[in-house]
Amino acid sequence: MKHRNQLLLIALLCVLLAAGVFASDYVSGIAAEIMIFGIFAMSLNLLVGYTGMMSFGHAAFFGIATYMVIGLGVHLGISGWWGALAAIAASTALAALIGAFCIRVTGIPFLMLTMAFSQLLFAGALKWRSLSGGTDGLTGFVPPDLFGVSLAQSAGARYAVVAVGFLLVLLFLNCLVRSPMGSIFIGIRENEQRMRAIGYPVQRFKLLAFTIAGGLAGVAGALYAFFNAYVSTDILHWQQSGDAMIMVVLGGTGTVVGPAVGAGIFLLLKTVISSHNEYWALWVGAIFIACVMFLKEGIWGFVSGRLRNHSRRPRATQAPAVPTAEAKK
Amino acid sequence: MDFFVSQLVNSLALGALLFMTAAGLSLIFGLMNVVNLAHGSFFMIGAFTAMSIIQLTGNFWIALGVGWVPAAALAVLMERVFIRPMYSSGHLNQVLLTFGFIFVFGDACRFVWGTDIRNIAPPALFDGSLHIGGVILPLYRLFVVLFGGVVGLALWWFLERSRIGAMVRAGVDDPATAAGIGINVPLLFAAIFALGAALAAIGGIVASPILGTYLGMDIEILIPAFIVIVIGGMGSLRGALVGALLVAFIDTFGKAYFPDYALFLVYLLMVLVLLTRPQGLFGIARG
Amino acid sequence: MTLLRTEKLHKTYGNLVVTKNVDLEVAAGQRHVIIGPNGAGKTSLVHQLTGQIRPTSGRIFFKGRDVTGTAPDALCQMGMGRTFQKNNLFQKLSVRENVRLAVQAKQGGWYEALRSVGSRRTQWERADQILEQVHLTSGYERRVSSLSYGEQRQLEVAIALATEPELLLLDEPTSGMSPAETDRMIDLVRGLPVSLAVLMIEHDMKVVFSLADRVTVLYYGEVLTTGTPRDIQGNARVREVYLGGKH
Repeated sequence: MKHRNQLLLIALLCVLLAAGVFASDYVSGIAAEIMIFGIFAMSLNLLVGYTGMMSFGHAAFFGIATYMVIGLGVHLGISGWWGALAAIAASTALAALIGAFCIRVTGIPFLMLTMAFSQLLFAGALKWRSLSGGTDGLTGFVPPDLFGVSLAQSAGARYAVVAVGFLLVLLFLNCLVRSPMGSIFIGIRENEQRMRAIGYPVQRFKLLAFTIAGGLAGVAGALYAFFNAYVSTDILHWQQSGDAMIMVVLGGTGTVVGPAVGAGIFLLLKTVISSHNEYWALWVGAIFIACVMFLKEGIWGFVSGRLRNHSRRPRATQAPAVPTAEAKK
Repeated sequence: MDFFVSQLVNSLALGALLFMTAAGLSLIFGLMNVVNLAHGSFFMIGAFTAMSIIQLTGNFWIALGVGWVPAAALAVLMERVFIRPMYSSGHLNQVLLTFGFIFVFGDACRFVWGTDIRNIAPPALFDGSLHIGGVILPLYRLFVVLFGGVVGLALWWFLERSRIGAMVRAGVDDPATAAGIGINVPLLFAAIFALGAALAAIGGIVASPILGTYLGMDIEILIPAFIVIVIGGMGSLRGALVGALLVAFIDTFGKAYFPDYALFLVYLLMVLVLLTRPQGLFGIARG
Repeated sequence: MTLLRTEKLHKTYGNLVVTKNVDLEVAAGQRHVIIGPNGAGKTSLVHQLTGQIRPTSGRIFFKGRDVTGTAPDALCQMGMGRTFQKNNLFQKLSVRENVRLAVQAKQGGWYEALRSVGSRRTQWERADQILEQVHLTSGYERRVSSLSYGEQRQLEVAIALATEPELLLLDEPTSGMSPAETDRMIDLVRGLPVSLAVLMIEHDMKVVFSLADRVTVLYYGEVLTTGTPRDIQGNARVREVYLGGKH
């Protein structure tokens, strides 16, 4: 997308997000939840869509951040803000540790290994009930104050914090995928062997991608702690990882924001359908399957591709579904 | 000692169940190169179908005899309509596809059977226990061990000794050549997928008197089944057996002697195997 | 000065010997061609030289250093570039990006996460320069998959050149090419800087005689003989085992 259009879109996004502060508690609550899981899904897409590493264990980094914030608050009385910093540091460190092991394999073994590590964490949380509260979870966390406004009481303030976090992550990822580092991730996705042959230490960059993705998932997890003020071991279950993957596929792996759109679609479908009947999983599953089979660029990928083709003069060549680094003219 | 023996029987029974379920999964991967995450769904569908048949006829054996049919039929449908177009899309896309089916099948089961779900009792023939020198051995569990052994032998014979098994192996090694000598490869693949699903369904039917019948059993069996074939090796029947016994032992004895660590140990084993020998103990190293 | 040297390079797979005590020497600036019938172990040799597989025994020396078992990326950083026998490009990326990635590998700036790649003018310009050098003149924004086979082979060389190697390993660069495309490739290689050593695996005798300073003949994994093209032409044993090649 052209630079000018990008700025325009970002400005539009800011306006929309600002409006949310004034919406009803219910609406801003849903919007906040969508943004939190949007960050989670976008972070997973850094791995899946941009570096070509499919992970089924991403919930570990989300969950440990939420646990850190709430755990530190409930057990040690530490303010949520410090807890959030610690949480993001923890999820980044955990991602570096787990990543160091996981990148030793690829493909299906990699998938299984990420899931195994995540389940290991899940099992650990179940066992250390005194720390984690087990399946009952930890209650009694009080979200901190933001400039004197209590996040515990003000849905608008909670929304604002989440919205700012969302924007920051979105901006960061947008820059990252267009940067030299991003081009290396993309190169690894496209042809790992050739990247090695031209001199890139591929393993190092895979670890970097894994770590950044884990850290960003931690941002989502920390925000979730503020938003939900409660955590249980469910948050570490591999179904969370599976849900994130669904959001990524629904929205599309080819853009930065696609997975966030996917998160919105997933959560809205779930909310809307389950208010009518209980079979939302069937519908989400069916749409997901349709995307995997027929709409590989995802729903947002499809929509944004159409928009792009309308606004530009037709090109002789077809632009790839995935953003490539192209020279600024 | 008595405790040890009864735990041994328990772990053998669990191992037999895991083996039957994982064997189907391993078969499908080994022969067709497809990773089917919805395998647990077939397990659950088998159990639920059996439950309905027993409610209708009161007979466990009829349920075991035909309860796997709906699962197998669904598998054929799934393979022909959804998986076949995806053969060339690569493993990871197939994983995603079958993952989506977990959701669809899960809700479908909820729709069909709803809240009217009841546990299956063991058949009258095996309801009760054997008392040997102070040890109480539930007859049903002994049956499960035996049954698992029979299924294993039958599978082994089918793959290694029969003509159909040879065709299967040919069709997988080189579909083009196999087609060239008259083997109907598409039919073969559909049949294998159905066989894998049938195995899972049978596993579910046999498992339910022990593990229960409930929504969510599809997801709960999935991870153990995958752990088994990761450890044992994807595509290896022997691996499925060894992996199943290993996991069952660690899980059962772990729960008995180190209750808090059992789950942990199983996952740890999975991690270790994946790091040192990604193709599993007996698996074929495939891309 | 010897740039690349192997010492009794040996590779076995169980009972199968694919590389048998190979001694090879490539001097700086030399055009060295390895020929041999199919199954002679040429590909295996390339894989060992470029660090993709580890030899069973023997040593490889590059610029005087023992690089046996060194990983491909480290070797490339040391100055060994390579092309692949089967096109191994970034199919979905643009032609220009293919080369730019290689330029970036050499020039650095890998860890910049916030500046856009588009602002790296020098890299884009260098990429265009190299593309011209390999006689690819237009359509730099096209996806690789839309290039012809011959053009893709040229791009293979461009990517390898972009890493500024001292030794360029060309693995059957003219494979699958028409006579016209082959001539173009010969011109391309001829036009490479004289300071750049080129080690080429080839089948096509025309290429061999147009380009080689030195020829090594490989047969069943071992070196049959090595010498100038003229020596090889006159060698009866070579004629006997290697009646292949197009004249």
